[in-house]
Amino acid sequence: MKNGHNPDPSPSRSEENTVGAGFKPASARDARDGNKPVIPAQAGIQRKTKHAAFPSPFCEAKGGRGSEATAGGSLPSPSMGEGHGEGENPPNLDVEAARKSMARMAKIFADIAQHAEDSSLTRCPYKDARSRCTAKFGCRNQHFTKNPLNPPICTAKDGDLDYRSAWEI
Amino acid sequence: MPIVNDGLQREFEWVTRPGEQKHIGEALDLADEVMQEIAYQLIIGKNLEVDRLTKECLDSGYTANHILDHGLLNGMAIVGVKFRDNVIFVPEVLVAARAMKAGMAHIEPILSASGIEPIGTVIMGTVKGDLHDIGKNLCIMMLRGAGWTVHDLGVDTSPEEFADAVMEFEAQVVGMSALLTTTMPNMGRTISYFEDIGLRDEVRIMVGGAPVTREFADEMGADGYGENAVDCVETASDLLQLQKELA
Repeated sequence: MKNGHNPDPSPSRSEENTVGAGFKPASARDARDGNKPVIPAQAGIQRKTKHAAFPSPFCEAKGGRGSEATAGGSLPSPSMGEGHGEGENPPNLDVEAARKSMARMAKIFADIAQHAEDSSLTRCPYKDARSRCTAKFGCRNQHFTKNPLNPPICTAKDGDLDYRSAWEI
Repeated sequence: MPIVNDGLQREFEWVTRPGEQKHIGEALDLADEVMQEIAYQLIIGKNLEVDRLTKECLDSGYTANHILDHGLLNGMAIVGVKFRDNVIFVPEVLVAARAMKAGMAHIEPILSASGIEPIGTVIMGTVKGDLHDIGKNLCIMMLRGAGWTVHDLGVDTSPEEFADAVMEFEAQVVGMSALLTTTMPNMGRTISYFEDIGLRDEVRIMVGGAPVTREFADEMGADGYGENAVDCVETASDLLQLQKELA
């Protein structure tokens, strides 16, 4: 592994996902909840008041990009586009492009999950690339080093199929 | 522009298949220096950095589409390649997924405001007495990637904690995981608790974990069973549909 990784993959207990980005129109959810429909332009205004002159999403959809980062570290402002009228999508989103992006993300994660399923037959899934154990429970394959701050080393060989039994201690 | 981020350049060298080099390389060509930094920080799992950079980019005028495509997804694509090629493993993937989530926390409200709402809300947790979480975490990664809002209760979750979360977040689906044969019965106890407090009809319950079988799930009174993380999304979607029909 080339770079350091945080060995702790577990999110905090109260961690809330806000990744939700499904494909259901707002109207369906609103009908279920009995809420008023979200008016995208209004929702965007509240969140994006500082972006009154935001670039058109079409600038980005056509391959545009933000300008280069400055040497001082502050982020650049992308080139300006056309304004947005009432009833349009929030200025920071091309909906169709976003749907395609979400589909791409789902595909990436599906491939990852499938490989995780396959690889778990031959390698403990708690064992990281440096052979450190990331489990929060005891396992007979854990070897603790002298430094108590270091995570234990996994002593199981890849290819062992019986690592799960080692967990049950 | 070419890859100017040294770290990302090193990471891109793991992409060796010609087709992927072309596909990911072309995507990275559209990424400026800041997007490359987001991609790199995601790959190495720096969730706080991804959080900060994503927020700053949105504040400075980058579109959500641009950050999503050229920063977050470019990084995740390389993570996927490295994982498939056994350069990194599940723990590193989950750390990268956490960084992805940190960035998406800023993108998601913009998606919602445009009508791209979460598919549904699911509560996930490993049952009482069980500290095994990697299967659950993979399921959560999948669900989030598929557009669900997920509230992770972690490990050693009591029936009361599951019930409280369902009520607090108005979840439609609960996912329970267990790895040990000794803790599997706590799935049934949680379902019984839902019945006792009158919450059972308000939510659909799916279960999974290495020792759990469909027969066991049926016996406990679960609504759905997922054999693995890939199954999890489909099971949750089926249960959401069922819940809507019953509502």
